[in-house]
Amino acid sequence: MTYLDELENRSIFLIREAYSRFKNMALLWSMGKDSTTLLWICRKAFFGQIPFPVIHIDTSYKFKEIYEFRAKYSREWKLDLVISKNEEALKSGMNFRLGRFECCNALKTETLRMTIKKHGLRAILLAIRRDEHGIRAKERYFSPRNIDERWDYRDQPPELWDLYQSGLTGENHFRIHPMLNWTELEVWRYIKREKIPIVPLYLARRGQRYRSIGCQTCCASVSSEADTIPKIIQELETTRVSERSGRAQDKENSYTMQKLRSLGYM
Amino acid sequence: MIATNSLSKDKLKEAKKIAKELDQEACLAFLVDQLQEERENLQTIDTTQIFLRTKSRNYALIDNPGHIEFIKNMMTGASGADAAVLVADVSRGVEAQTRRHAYVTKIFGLETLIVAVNKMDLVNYEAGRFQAIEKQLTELFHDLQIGSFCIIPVSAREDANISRNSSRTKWYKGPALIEAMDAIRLKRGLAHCPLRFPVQDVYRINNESVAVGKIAEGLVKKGQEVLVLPSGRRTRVGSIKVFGQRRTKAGSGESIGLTLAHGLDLKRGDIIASRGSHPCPMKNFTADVFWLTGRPLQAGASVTICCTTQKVRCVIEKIKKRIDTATLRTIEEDATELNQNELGNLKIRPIEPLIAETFHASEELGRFVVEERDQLLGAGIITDIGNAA
Repeated sequence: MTYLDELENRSIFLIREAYSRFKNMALLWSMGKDSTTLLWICRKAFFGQIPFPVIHIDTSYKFKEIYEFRAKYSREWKLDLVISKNEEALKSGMNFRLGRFECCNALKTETLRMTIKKHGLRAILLAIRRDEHGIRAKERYFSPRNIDERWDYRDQPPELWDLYQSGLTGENHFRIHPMLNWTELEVWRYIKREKIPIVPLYLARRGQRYRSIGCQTCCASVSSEADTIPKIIQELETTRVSERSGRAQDKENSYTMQKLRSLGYM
Repeated sequence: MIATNSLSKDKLKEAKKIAKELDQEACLAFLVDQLQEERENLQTIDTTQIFLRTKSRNYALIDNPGHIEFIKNMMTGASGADAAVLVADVSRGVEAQTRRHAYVTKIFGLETLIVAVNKMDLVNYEAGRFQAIEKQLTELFHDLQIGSFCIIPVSAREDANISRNSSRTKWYKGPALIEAMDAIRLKRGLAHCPLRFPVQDVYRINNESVAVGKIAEGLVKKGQEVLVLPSGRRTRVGSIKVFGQRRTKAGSGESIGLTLAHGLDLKRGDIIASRGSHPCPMKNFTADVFWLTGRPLQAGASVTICCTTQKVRCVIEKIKKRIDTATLRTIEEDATELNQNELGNLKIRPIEPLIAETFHASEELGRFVVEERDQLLGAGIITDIGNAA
């Protein structure tokens, strides 16, 4: 087995482990490269037909290419797509100018919280990775959220070998992270190997590309000539600029990510 | 991280900025200690991972907390590791946590141990100071029967013996830390072992019952004769299912689906094994159990043991020994209870059939966790198996 095979097989194991415990679960899909890869692996885990809903937490500020991608592949892959928006916050005009922390919290975290409640979800699959951000690096594969849906990062339960927790007294839901041990470079190598479709924003146009995509309002492009996937891989093998350097919400203050995540951000 | 040029510029910049804000001279710890509480108290709370590239391979470095109150987090990190680097402080010598962590790596089956004896700069790179600790460690590893280890004098701050040998320790003839890491040989390939396939779940795919799971050990081939445990029924492998591929065989580590020739009624927790050398349900077994929770384990208690995908009620027949993991001494024999952070040598009797092996024979079927009301209370390694039931 190659290392990519090992990663894929482990992720499939984790996804199936989650499904054997929590039938009422869902996959969070942002159409970014990571969650599209996770979706791809879920299709493999369930032999082509994912048995749970795929949820998009839609802030309504995403790039148009992202919406096009969502429409095309949710049809092609016959997904049970759920689009969730915090209509109330949007109506009252929430946007990043009112504060990035406030905006992320209202349009992403709060929307996710409402969705979990509405669908009675016991577990959600997320494609976060340890190498993306130091706070995400502290995560477990099976991460319990307590009654207030908070992440108690000060006292996480032990997680030994492949023996994952099946529940926790007083837990609200579990966040399952099947790609926690992947790196950005491995995701791209896997995308290349599997020929996974991606949103074209990742590929350079006129000397600029996005390494991480989300809301149009809070994502900056990086200068790059990488207009194909092999070129992206080559670029990442040598770069010393971090992946989320274009994501404004990570950087407002040193601990914004920690605060966002303890409240339930992805 | 710095010596191998594996850090992004902004990560280092951020760590420096925080160090300045907190008026701290050293910022290296902040590369992994990312929680506000960790940085303000200068103490690692939880395990984390950071990625490193050397000339010969890629690493995920699993940073683990050293403090006793976070031992469960250390074990979480250690359970995912292939090898271990212990860090000792030359000015403080071998501490309780050094012994405890060495013990954990030993019972977790991490065969190669590297010790970085750090802060050599604080003792002027004196050979004598290092050798005193080296002697203590060698004795400790001898007691623990750790065969393969390497003890290196380093200064992380001055990059001495980290990426290459330092001119300040001319008396030291061994490898630098990264050289020692690159020399570690990993256990790979369990394909030659007999088949062990713990059933994870059973899916209905195109009107067919497909048992899914990850092959723990061995190879599985289409048409192969197998046993389903614990029932002991014999059957053959009908087909191997991997989405988008045609397969006639699969090996250890692969997450696959299987159909069986006799359409048996399988469930999670069944073990599919090759005929001949297969484990049997056992009457009792002996295990080393590390107890992680404040509520003591009582002799005679019944608990749930999770081993591969099995979940089985068992009785703690006897606490044969209670061992202090800080001193590695036996505190008591035939004890009535086992306390937090102690290691117990226990005799355990399964009430329901349990298919397991010694950790020596099979890592996956030889390790387990103890659960109660969905809470993980302890972790164990099977050392000996009693008569087959």
